[in-house]
Amino acid sequence: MSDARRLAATGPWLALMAATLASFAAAEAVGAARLATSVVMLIASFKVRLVVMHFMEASWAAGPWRWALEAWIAAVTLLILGGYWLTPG
Amino acid sequence: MLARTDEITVTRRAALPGDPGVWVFILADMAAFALFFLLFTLGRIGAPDLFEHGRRTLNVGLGLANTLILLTSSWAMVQAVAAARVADRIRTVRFLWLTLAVGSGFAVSKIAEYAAKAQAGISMLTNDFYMYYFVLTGIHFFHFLIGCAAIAVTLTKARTQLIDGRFRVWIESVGCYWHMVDLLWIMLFPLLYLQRAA
Repeated sequence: MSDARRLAATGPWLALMAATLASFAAAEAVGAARLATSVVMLIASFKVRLVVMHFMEASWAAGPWRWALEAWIAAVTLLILGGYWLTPG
Repeated sequence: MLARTDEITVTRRAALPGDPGVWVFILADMAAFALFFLLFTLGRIGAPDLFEHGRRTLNVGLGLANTLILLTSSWAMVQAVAAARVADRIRTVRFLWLTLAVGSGFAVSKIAEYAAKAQAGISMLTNDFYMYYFVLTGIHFFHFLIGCAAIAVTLTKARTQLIDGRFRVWIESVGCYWHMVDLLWIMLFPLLYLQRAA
């Protein structure tokens, strides 16, 4: 159980490290600012979900706790991205 | 015995790890940060040029390093919790040290960043962007310091007390708090450092 959990956490950690480097590269390399920022924010949202589900073990949890966390991720992503797209260029 | 094992399995699948009270605190904290994100976003809509100029003065390399540091520290915390669940004191202590050692890199980097801003004559009073930058990262840094203190207490407990059910609830709670510090930074980094003006 413990060994399985240790291994189960290492995959998401590697994915988180890779996603962080990918979003940094996208922020620097993608010419179109709106596309680059949108990709970066969506990757950040994906990373938060990985932390919540695998490190905080919410994927095991049922009911309102899990939905509250999922709702937070969706709301924060929408508000940041929505605000970004509403900002005059 | 079998019935008791089944009961534990069902309970673990229905609840999050750690103390439910800590989870109420975590969700309240996350809600507060959502409000901070909203205020920053509204500020940015009102003054896009000012925010873009401020963003360009931030050290993106240190922001990236801090993200990698917190992710790795979080991973080490997961290992510590896993070791505590099988009452492996040596591994629990070892991974708690690793969590703290890697995590302390965040403090070094953040202090270097604040010092550079101070040397450049920049403070939270300089303009709205820096006000948000210092308040948001400052509140996050305060959470980080609380997390470090909680991990240090957990280390002492792991070395001196029984690794029993009570300790497991404690370390799971501290672990979830530490992961919250991590996930808040995951959103703060792109919000402050990477949102480019169109």
